[in-house]
Amino acid sequence: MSGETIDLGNYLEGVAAPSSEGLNTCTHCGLCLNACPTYRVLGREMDSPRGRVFMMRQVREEQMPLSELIADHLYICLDCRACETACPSGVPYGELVEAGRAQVEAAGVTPRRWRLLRWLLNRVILPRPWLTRAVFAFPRLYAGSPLRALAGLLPRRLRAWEAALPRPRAPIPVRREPRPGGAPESGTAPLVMALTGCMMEAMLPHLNRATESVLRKAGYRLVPPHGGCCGALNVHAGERQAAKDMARATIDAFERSGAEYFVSNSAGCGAQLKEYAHLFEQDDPWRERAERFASRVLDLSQALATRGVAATRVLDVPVTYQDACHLAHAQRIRAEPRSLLKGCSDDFRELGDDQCCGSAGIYNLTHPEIANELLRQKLERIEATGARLVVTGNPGCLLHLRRGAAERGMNVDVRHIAEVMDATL
Amino acid sequence: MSEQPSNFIARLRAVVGDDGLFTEPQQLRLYMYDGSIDRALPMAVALPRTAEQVAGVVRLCHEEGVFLTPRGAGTGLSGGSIPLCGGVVLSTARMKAILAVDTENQTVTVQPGLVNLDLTKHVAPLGFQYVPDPSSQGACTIGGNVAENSGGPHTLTGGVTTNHVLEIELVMADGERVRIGSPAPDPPGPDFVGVTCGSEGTIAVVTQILCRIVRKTECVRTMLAAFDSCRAASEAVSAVIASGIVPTAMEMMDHTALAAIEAFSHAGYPVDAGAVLLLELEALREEVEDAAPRVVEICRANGASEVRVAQNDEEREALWKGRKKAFGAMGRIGPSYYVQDGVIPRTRLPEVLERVEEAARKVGLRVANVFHAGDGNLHPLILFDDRDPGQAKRAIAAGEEILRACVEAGGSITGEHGVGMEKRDYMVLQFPEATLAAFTAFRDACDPGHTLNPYKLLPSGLGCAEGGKRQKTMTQMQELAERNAAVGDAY
Repeated sequence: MSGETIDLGNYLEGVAAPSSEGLNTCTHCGLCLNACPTYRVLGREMDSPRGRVFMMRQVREEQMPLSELIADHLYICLDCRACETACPSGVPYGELVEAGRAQVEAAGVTPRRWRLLRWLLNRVILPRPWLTRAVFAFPRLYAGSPLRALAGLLPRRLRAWEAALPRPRAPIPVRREPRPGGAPESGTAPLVMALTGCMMEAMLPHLNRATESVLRKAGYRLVPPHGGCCGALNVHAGERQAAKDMARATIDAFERSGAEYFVSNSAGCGAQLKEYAHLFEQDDPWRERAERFASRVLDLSQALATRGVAATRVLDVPVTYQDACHLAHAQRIRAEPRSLLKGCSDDFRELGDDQCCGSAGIYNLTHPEIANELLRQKLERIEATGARLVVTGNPGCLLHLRRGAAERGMNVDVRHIAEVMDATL
Repeated sequence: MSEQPSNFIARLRAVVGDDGLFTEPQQLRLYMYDGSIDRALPMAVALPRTAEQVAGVVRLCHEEGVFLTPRGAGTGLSGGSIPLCGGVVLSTARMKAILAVDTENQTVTVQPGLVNLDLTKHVAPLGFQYVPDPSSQGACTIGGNVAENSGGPHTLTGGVTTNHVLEIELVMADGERVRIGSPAPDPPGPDFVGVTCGSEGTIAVVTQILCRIVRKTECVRTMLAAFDSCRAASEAVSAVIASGIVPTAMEMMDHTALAAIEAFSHAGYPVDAGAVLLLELEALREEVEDAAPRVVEICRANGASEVRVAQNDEEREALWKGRKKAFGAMGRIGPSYYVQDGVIPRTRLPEVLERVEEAARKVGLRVANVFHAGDGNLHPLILFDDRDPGQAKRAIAAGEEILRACVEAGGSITGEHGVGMEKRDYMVLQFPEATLAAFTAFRDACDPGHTLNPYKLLPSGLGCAEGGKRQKTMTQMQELAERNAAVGDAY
């Protein structure tokens, strides 16, 4: 990634910069264009992966300054990584755009209107679990309270946000008759550490409990979970220093725990954990530790699928699966969640579309228009399948889709794969 | 100048709206490239949403003598969408609606910016497909396909774009909107649709297309045969066709290309083979089941060390993914590539491939071959580093040598990538002066002011700074030419 001291072009020294090697892998063939959600919505080359790579290359070649315009376009990117799936050349797009953002952040040309929001969230709240829990206590407490009965009195838009809040005790629709199945018979019970994370524990703690429960059912032994933020939002926003601190804390906790695997139930966190090495220079001893750590990270769906679990209950409604970008594109995990769902459903329906739903971390707050358009497209696809249950592996997608479905008045429930598997294993 | 450029821009803005126009120099730089190696900077980029807006932009450019270059997805390989003389780039990226699907008459009405693969995806659940499948079909647009008369691996039996377009709505150079062709096949009179397909944006701008769709075939079988050399593979191609079997696709990939293709696709391409043929049979089940073993046998008789038949859709798709994205995958073995598109009679494949190899060797560059062997449509990819201007020049020199070899073998300088700016000067290799004069006369009749995609396709076209009416924008053009030159220097 960095480590280069010469030929930075218009990039700043001392900050990670998009590597020449990575940029030059792009042959500007354009095959990424139609895979890119923002290009599809906006139709502008500047908002295509090829365009962004070209701009980053122009900065390095001193043809363009590090400007607010570039910052704007780099932040319009959802970081969904669909372009990496489409790219035949293997351009490390995610790595490049994250370094590009680190540069515009350091150059102080980031659009001002997001700086406060991001600073509050990424630097103040999320790194502090107690603060995160305190801030999100209201929605969490409210979600489980009888106050919800009065939600009908809220204005329409607010009602949709309200509907997105989790209903921890709402059951997953399964058939009454059990069928044979259950935990694998293998004698070994690998020791795992689960990530409870920041937002997840504050807003959706029941999903963490479901994750722990289903891991046990699959025959894992659990060490106390790692609470705290993985730093993904910071990396996406170009705040690499803060991210490094969080990466070190996570790796350290895992190493000291003696666990064999580190399991994440959030696609965005999982992708970040597996890419921690990008944060450290070649000669930094942490880089090797990060690489070793990455090889031990599993998404929950991987952890369950590799154990060969078999469902004892069958879902009672048609179900579809929404590929979270950071599972499908960043981690290339597509088969495992599908095989798990097919194992507990007789009516699994393919969505036939892996475009980003628009949630993308805090993107739905910073770029609501694009996010809502992508959400609309996604919900249309869901409607077309006739599924009544949508399963996903990322909390961001979950809340975003729930709000959208409620706003649209759709008769569909959106649930995390941890809950679904916990109810069917 | 009778009018200030700022005034022109303001009028352009009035046509397409604030949101549909870019004039910031930094943004314009993103419209100076396509999928190939040429570069030129426009002075404005317009993104119309409707045919009326397209007509408005074209008319305004016509009135003011400003050059206009249409652009689809910018995946072209001959510089067709490069705004060579500056002027306005008209992008169809926001005109991508499917306006009507008529399964009874087997047609679909689309806007020009619709992506090729999105058309097929849309009609696939109904049991139909759109036949032309350029390798860039995941990104390239139907409008661009019409401009280039694009083909693809299935050209061998399926034909090219012109065979699958029934009616086109156009904006002529003066902004007039016309409709050519007819929903019913074979209308009387000259084949204007045929002339428009492959005109590369030099006679009109396409705003709507009535495409033909066909029923998906009952049975598809894809197989891969590995050979020691391109020569052996070429001989197998001729032998298969001589046997009376016509596969819908016969694609060849040489040793150099295979490594990059496999690294990307993980389809199980044999990377140590000298050459690989990808063959596809498509017909009724009985026919395919009859032909497939014979094809296998012929390949083996011609020295195939391995013949593998894809067992399911996933295997089939993985093989095609490798082939279709082969050009892009070259980024894995060289920073840049320069691809040629000559066509030759397939019996001459072995000797021409040797001349290709030699042309690259002569300039000290490597070459990879990935091409449509069945119809003799070569795609030599000359690998070079585009940061080294010397290497770029040598790649172009080797390209010219290759085209010469194709024409001498009785072939053509382009199969499907178009002439654009890169092969414009090679047209004289292929056509006599009188024929070129006739082409030019037709173009002049359609676009007397020479505002549409200037200096492309025809060698006799006027240069950027020539012509009468555009004198008034001369200063502006000169500035742009200088800016273009400065940009060019960087490459």
